[in-house]
Amino acid sequence: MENAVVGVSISGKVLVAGKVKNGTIERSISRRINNKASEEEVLSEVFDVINQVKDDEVAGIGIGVPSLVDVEKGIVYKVQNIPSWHEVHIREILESHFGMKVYVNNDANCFAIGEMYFGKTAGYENSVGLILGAGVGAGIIFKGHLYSGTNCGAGEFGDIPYRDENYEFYLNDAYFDYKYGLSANTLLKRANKKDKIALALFEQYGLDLGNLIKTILFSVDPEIVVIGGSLSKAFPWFEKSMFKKIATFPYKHAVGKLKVVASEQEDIAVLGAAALYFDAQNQRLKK
Amino acid sequence: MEQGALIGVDLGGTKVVAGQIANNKLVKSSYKLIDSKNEDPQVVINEVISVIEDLFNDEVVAIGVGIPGLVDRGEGIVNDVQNIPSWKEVRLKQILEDYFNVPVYLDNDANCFALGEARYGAGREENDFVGLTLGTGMGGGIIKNGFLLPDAHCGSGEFGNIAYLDATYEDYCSGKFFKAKYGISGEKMAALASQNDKVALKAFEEFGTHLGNAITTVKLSVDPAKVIIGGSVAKAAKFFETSMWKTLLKFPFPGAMKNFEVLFSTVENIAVLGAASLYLDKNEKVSVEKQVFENN
Repeated sequence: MENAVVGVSISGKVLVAGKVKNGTIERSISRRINNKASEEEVLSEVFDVINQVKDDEVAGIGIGVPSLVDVEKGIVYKVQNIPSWHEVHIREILESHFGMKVYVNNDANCFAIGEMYFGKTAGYENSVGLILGAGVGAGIIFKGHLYSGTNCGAGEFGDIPYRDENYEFYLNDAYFDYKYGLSANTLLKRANKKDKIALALFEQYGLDLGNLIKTILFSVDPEIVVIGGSLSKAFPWFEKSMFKKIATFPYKHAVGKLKVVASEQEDIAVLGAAALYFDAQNQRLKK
Repeated sequence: MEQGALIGVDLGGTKVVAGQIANNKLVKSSYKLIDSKNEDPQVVINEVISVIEDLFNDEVVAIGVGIPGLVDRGEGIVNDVQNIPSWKEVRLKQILEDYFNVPVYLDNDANCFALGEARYGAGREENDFVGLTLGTGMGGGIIKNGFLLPDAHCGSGEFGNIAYLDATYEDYCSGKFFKAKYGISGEKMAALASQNDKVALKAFEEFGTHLGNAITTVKLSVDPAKVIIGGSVAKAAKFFETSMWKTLLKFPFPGAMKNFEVLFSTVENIAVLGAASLYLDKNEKVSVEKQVFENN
């Protein structure tokens, strides 16, 4: 039988923790936190939400954080939206507090491994999980395991230069507000009512996203890309132009088999954090 | 190498080069010019067979071939080769195995370069790096834990094709840059730079800036500990290294650049050596996986 694991998502202003067993969340808790609080105060909130969902069955803890992470040492650096978390040795702190294995990774890597265990990329060996939300980041899976890179910096495709800026500039959810004074959410509602302006903006978005996916194909050559984050909900409205752009990829054989899908797993942040534990347990090929 | 000799083949757009490796050394080599534009796919296949034939003997236990395009590793089928238009779904592994009766491994040529550096070149001490070849074009291969990255279609590391400015990185980071902007080859430009020609030195300075941007994209994508640069352009490194680093130091996450290194290839025929070691890459990896699995 599969072990139970606690997954924790620390997304800045909201903490979510869940007990994950056999691919489902048995119970979970989410809580708004004071993100301006001290390092210790935020940590005690983390202890607290873990305690709320943890029981005797739980064998380990996985943590997803929007930041740079030293995966080997379990240190998070410059966590987005939590100014006091400049350098937190979170694994060491949690392991000594709870007396069990703790794994930490950034939110994009959690998304990618979560989709492999519990979502759309199950059964694929090589995949990319691409988050389109407040930022643009990706996690890469090779042969069923997370590929993190030397500084846990792999998959930062959003920072690659594009047009006069970078991909993140054109593909993050604040872009529409910045450029057109319309929130992504408003645009999505208008697109669902077939509003022509909204549809045209998402069509352009699909072309830019198609270029990013071509860049990902050239870099890491996956079988499938799964899209998450707030903008994944607009998938039906940018899908067509995205595929049109991807079809210009020069290696027809590789692109012919490529799949691009939208995530449908609402609880992927918690599931993905929990999946860090399963990835580590199944990591056969050690360094 | 107790298990015998290996043959490595590097198939290019104009010629095919092969070498035999025994006891980790290149012991003999051969090459043939190829008629890559011939409409009959068998013509180039025969040229590949013939160059291997020059080196083949009873000691040879396996053959590896580097292909300038994408390969289905499992099936051993060559799918997309831009320089050899007649090759569409050539079952090269089967063809060569039927002829020579030893196991045959295929991979992308830039992957073979990276693997060659990992086993015989600047990457011997490094487990995680990206190899970039800068010559008439720009290709790349990714080494993780000392082995080639097990990607979906042999297509990873093709950073040269990524969009950059009005074209692609390849247009700015290979010989194409000097041809398009200055009308002369990279080799001629390097000769001029050696004589302190101001225009040539300026051209390499620009080249280094573009290459710095390309390496930034590599670092953002797969975050290697090192990048190893080979191909004809690598020989002019001293003319573009400074501006390359100036650009690299603008990396958005400065901490990641602290221990990062860019090295230049010095071994001749490294892609042939890499192609020959495809056999080792495949079989040692299986044995490492088996060992770790059994230990668990």
